[in-house]
Amino acid sequence: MTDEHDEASEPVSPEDETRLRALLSDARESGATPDDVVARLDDTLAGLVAERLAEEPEPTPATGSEASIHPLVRTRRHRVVAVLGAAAAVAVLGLGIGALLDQGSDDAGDSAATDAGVERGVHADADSGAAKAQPSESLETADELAAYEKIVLAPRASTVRSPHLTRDLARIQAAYLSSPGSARYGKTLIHEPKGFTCADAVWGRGVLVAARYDGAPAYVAFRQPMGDSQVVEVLQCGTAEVLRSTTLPTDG
Amino acid sequence: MDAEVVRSDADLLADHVAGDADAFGVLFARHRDRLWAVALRTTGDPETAADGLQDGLVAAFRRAGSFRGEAAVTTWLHRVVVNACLDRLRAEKVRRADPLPDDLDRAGRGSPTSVVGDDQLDPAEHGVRSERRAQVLAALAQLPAEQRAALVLVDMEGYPVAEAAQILDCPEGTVKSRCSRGRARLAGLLRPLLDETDPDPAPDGPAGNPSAAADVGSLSPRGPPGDPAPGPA
Repeated sequence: MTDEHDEASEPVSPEDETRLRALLSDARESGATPDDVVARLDDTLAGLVAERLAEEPEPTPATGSEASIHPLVRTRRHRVVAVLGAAAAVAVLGLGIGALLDQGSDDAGDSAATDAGVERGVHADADSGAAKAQPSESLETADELAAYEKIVLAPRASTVRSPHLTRDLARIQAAYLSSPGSARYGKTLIHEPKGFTCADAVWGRGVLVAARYDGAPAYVAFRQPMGDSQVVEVLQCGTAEVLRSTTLPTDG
Repeated sequence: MDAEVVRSDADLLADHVAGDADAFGVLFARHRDRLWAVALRTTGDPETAADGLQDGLVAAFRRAGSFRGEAAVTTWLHRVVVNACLDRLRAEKVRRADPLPDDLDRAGRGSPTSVVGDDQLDPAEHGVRSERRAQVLAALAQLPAEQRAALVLVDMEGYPVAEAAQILDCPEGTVKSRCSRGRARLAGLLRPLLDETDPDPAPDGPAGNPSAAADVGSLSPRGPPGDPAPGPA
């Protein structure tokens, strides 16, 4: 540094050093930061936060509106509905072919067979229509799709550190579940940021939040509360194995 | 919010990095006054101090992800702010040679209160004290910025030399050297004050640095960096 040897100085006497340090100590600034400086800092901070949020949108609450659903959600929903629609179409086609075969083999049953075919077809169409109109209700009845998934865009994966597990999970709970006791746990609602990679698994019902557990991707699952508490699990990607689990209060 | 009260500095910084929009504000507000004090005394000018503090806030906000935890969060914050102030001083190259205003207290932005509240002093004593502080600050302003920063941290704010070295990002020996050279320079500038000042006890009692601490490295801190300095007994 340029000032390290810029002058030959004689060490001060111990008495002078004591006096000097006392004088310096007395001259220290101990007042609060002036209001105008505080206001300026607050403005700067608000600008930084806004700048950051502009880069990545705010997290949406677990009970947020459908408008917050990431397009990927719609893709998945539509894919599920399409699968159900295709299954219904196959059923209709099968019934139709069956009816034709029946018709060919038993002329005596024409009207009955035709009536039955039409009736089944109507039912199948009705079922398909219901699936399109209310996909969740239809999905609730399908074993393999019992936990209907919905994904909500989150700003980033939350941090979970094993030494601070409870504290970190409580922080995530506060951030994503404004009212843990009354949130919806009937489906699998996933909060995750764009680009978050976590291999699929059967997560179960609850509110899931994308996380980095000691650096590795994982989901934090908030389960249906029991009384005034709820089980919170850290789930391993790809297996849904419970890596860690704890119980948090739901009454704040 | 209670949850914010109990969050440690490290937790607040981690939360900020993880996306908590409020965490950094809570953290910075927690240490703002002390950072302001260091910035003000390091730069010797309220405007430059405000600029440096603002620069430091921006830098810390954006670089929080690079904090690795080698030092305390407060130490890191002080480092960022002090560096920002020194950068300001280097860039401006103004205040170094100019004396400070006659009395920062009268400038309205300097020291509205002091270690011992000025309202506890009678008017005559208050005047003497203000004059004395003005002389000290004017002398301090004549030191090279790095020496001034070292003296502000060690002798004014009471940081241990080791922590001051972390803040200034230099070896402890360098801090000691800067303090020693700075004191030698101040001794010449403040000779009349030194001759009239009773060395024992310190001018205003318990808030000053320990009078028994003769070596630069043995000062006991007056409290953790984040805590306000203890008030008068």
